[in-house]
Amino acid sequence: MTESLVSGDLAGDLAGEVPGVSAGPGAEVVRLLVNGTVRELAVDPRASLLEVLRESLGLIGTKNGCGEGECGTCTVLLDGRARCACLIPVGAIGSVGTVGTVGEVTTVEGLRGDPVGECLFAAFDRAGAVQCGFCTPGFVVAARSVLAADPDARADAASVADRLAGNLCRCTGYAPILAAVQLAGRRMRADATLVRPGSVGVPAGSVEVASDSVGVPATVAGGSVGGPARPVAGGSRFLAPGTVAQACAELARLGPRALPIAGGTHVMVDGGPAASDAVLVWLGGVAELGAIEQRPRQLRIGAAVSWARLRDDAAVARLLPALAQAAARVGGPQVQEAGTLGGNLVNASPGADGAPALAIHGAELELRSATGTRRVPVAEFALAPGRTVLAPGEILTAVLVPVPARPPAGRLEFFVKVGPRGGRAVIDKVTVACAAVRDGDRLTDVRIALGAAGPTVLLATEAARLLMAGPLDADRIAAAGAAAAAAIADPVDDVRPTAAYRRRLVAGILVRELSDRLGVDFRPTIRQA
Amino acid sequence: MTDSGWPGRSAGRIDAAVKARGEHRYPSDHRPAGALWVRPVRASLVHATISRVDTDAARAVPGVVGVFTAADLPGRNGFGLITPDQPVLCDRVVRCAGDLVAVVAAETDRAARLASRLVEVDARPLPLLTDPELALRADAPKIWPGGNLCAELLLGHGDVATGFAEADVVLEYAYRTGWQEHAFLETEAGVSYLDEDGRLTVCAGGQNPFTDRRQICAALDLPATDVRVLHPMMGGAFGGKEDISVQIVLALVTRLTGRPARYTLDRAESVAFGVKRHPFRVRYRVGATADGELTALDAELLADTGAYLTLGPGVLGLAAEHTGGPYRYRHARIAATAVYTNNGNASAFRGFGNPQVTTGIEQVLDQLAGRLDLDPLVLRRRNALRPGGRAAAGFTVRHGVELAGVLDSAAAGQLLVEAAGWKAAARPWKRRGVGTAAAWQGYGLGAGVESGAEVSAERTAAGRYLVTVSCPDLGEGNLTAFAQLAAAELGCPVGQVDVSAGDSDGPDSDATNASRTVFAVGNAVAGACARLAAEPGPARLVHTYRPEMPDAHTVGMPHIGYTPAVLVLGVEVDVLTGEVDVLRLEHHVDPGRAVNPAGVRGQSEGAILQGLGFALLEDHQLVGGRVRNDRFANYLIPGITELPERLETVLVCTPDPANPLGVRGVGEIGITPVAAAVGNAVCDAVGHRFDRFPITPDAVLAALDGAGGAE
Repeated sequence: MTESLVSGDLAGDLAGEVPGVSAGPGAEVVRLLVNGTVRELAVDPRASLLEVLRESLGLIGTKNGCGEGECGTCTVLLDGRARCACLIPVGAIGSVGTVGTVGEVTTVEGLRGDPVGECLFAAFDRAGAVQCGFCTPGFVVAARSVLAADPDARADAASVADRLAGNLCRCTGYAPILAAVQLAGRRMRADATLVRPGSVGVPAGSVEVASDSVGVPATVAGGSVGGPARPVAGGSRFLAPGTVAQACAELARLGPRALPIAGGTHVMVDGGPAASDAVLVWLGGVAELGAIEQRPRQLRIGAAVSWARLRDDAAVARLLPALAQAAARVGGPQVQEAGTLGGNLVNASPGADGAPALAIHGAELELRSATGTRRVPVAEFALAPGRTVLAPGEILTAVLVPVPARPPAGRLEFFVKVGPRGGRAVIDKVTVACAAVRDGDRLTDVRIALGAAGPTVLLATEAARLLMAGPLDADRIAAAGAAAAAAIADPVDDVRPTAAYRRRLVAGILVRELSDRLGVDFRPTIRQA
Repeated sequence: MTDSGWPGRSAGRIDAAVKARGEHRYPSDHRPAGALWVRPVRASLVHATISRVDTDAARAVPGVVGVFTAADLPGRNGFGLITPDQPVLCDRVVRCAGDLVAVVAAETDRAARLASRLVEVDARPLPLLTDPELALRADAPKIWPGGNLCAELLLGHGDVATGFAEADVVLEYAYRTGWQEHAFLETEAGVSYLDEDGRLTVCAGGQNPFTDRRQICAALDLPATDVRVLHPMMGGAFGGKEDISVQIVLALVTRLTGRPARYTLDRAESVAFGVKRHPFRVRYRVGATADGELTALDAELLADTGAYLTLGPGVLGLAAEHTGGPYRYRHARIAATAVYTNNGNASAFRGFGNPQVTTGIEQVLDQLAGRLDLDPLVLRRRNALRPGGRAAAGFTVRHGVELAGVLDSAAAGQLLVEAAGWKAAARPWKRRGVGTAAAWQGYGLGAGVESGAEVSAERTAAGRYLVTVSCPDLGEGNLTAFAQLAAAELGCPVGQVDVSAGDSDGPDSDATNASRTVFAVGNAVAGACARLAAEPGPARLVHTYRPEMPDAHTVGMPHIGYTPAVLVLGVEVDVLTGEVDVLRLEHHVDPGRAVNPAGVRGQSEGAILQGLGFALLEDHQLVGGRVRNDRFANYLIPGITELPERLETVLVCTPDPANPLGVRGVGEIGITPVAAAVGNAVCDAVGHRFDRFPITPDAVLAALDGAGGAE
């Protein structure tokens, strides 16, 4: 094999912890379960899992490529699901102090000796999927979760690619990586001795509860990473309240030092608050915030429910298809596992996908503080980019969506996002959400909401009115598209697109989607040079 | 790992397993015991005079071991591959946003970052120069005392006025290409330490341990024997790690403190301050007869090299060399200029100026073919450079360019054969188009620069073989190719050969760049092992391959040979959103004899995806000399969803006559024709040609909508 100076350690390279890297004023005892072994460390619980893996545990197979959850080189498995380690504060997955269960972390090192892991290593080698190799551990770990989710390993190229959309490569052009994962899948199917994929990590904290009136089981699950309530340690920089009341009490007590965090996809960028005085108030341990509850005529979605759960939930798919479609395109799979609906709305980016998907249903947001509860329509929640109506000490606790007992016949609903990478990028995009009911040659109950078209979500009321005002034909649809475009007054300051582009885009998307779904013929013409 | 020797079987890569399993330690993975964390300090202005750098507050931060400025440099405060014009630490003037004024070394990362924010820099702004077209005006802000001209070339032959007079058709095309960010997945990174003999050692991501060592030694006033540079296998480079990044400041910290040091650039830092591809503004004027003979080429190139020379003259020269494409013109004139601005710092990036100029000529030829009612491939074939022919830049192309084979392959390829039917199958709001582009890419460094490679080959007492080269593995697989070549000469399995690379203590094989290593270092390895095969028992020998380079027309040109390729691709344009999807792609390339066909395909496909980024997606934006989009969230590189449904590399292997192995370099050719092919395909689809790259959806929509064409 290659000489040590090409691929191995330098004399003097540490194998274990780099002293002092995460200790310091914020250090606490954190217990983590990594690759099947419990590790007890003195680290700042706000530090990212990536930093702790690399610097405290010497597990350098997990790489730091961007620090913002975009490149996937830091992908690990958390309870069997692919996550970006750079976005996870260790307090969220380890027990802090003396109490609490832990999430199971698997790194690329933990896949050595795992039969499916070894199968993947061999397949990546065989398929020519390794050039510089820096992205490879992240891809292998992500692929491990792909194969775990597809027990028959029949994944086709498109769905495999979709599951790997959170990992970047600059060297190979991706084709051999796809080939490698499919090769591994074929080998697993052919080899009965390979351990069944589901055995690496089991989702923690899932509890099934019997349904109420609709015959569909209501799922109550413990947050995105699970764990029962822990006593709130005084003086800790990482608090894990077990109830909403506790969380609100902490926010009231800490004032501006409190930094509420759910999925971490925003707060943890660039290492998060670990260098500061901020106290993370982690909401992932509050069971109520992680629940999707079906009530008569209402779907109640806890604010800390992840996009991945919204994507996969049967009730959401049936009752709120726009929201399910939005969930499938919020970044790559790792971000979908981590990011939450509440976090998306509170972050109040102009492109927040939750807002248009919910606005078409007239959803309301439940806000709670130590002093009370109030509700705000979703379209009124964001005031400006990054600013919402949340008062100090207030937490968004749930999204309340009015839904019919069963979806009406003739229901039409879609969520379309146009932008780079199939709309998964956070920039340069526009979203159109629409809900309507078709009744013969007319539409009723039309609601259209636009995302990333203005500083906050835009309701295209004139376009909706036009669509309801008469029989459906190409002219009416075109007029609605133009009206929706005209609703865009205030351009979003993005890397490139102008207001003119967004207007054209919105008109075009609306015309295409409505025509295509309603069976109205349309053939756009273009100006010839 | 399959055992395979030469010729041309695709042995498994010898480094794949250690990388996939997370066992390999990349430059950013090294953690020497007791290493200090190094953080940079930059001025807050892009172009400014510096009067004072106050480090007191920073040095008082607990855990800080040192804060160093220009005054702490023992040797020359300057580095650069051609001219050492870039200060290691600025003390008088900063010329771009990335310039350093100090470095902090501390016991923890947190302390270093905190301290770096406490260094006070007194800076007075100087006027900014951000438009390269204004750089040479008398009233332009001066980046350098001598003015803003970095390099200029006037090349060609004959008299273009005559050439245009002889033409039946004259076409013009002016366009711009943007900066491109390398976006290697591992940023610039490394460590430094004193080894057990007390020798200063720098272990970092870089493309030539000898040029790194030379520049470190000059800055630290040390003899070459006192410094060792190691380049482990790193997480990508693409030309972006040729220039010094972390190496000198790391060495300085270790030299001054006696402690090991570590420094990995944050991604935002790397995107904002690392070197970039030169943006070009190009104007082509081309004349041809009615039956398609090219009579005249008049080209003007303007490259923005940013604040420092780096490899600017080289990029300009190679661009000028390739301007006009692999074709004969009766008369030609190429006026090329590179200027300084305050727009960051541009240097080497895969293709090295050629993608920027190929983007234009291959679109002009496409347009010409349409005007003359000629098949685009036939037009190219008619004018292809033959052995002994004269390139537009005026030099003789000794062996010609093997275009015929790749042109024939493209013409017979499925994509072109099925084009009509495929295009007709588009849905009503989509338009499909097919475009082709040819390219040539000189391999190796050019005449006057390429001096070949020195390697060593050893048979150990245990009967294993060790091949030592200095050119590092950036990810492209050259080490595997060397092992295959060695095994073939030595008559042993590939698994019996070890390859050591990237050490300045060993023989000097020169850099990993310029599509040169399989050619220059591969020939040296083959030669060394052929000699070693004749030696009995344990033995070690050093061998040099000096290629027979042509006489220099000017520094860096011509190249010893040129790799030819034709790219065919099919796009689908959504006329409602302006999005352009590349759905089908065929790359017909002639790598000479392919040592490892899978390796050639890997380089081809990776370069093509980078080219798709360059053509459609990657839009590095500077305003006032500062990067607006310095994250992967807003500087978008192609993801797996950008992979075309059908992507095929067709190898047409004609041994190159210019070197004993008959190989050609393939590291760069894949990226060069992509933007032109995309431009041609989009034009085929919607009838519009664009003059800015990347071609963005909003530009497409604006053109389709009739809002005055491309913006």
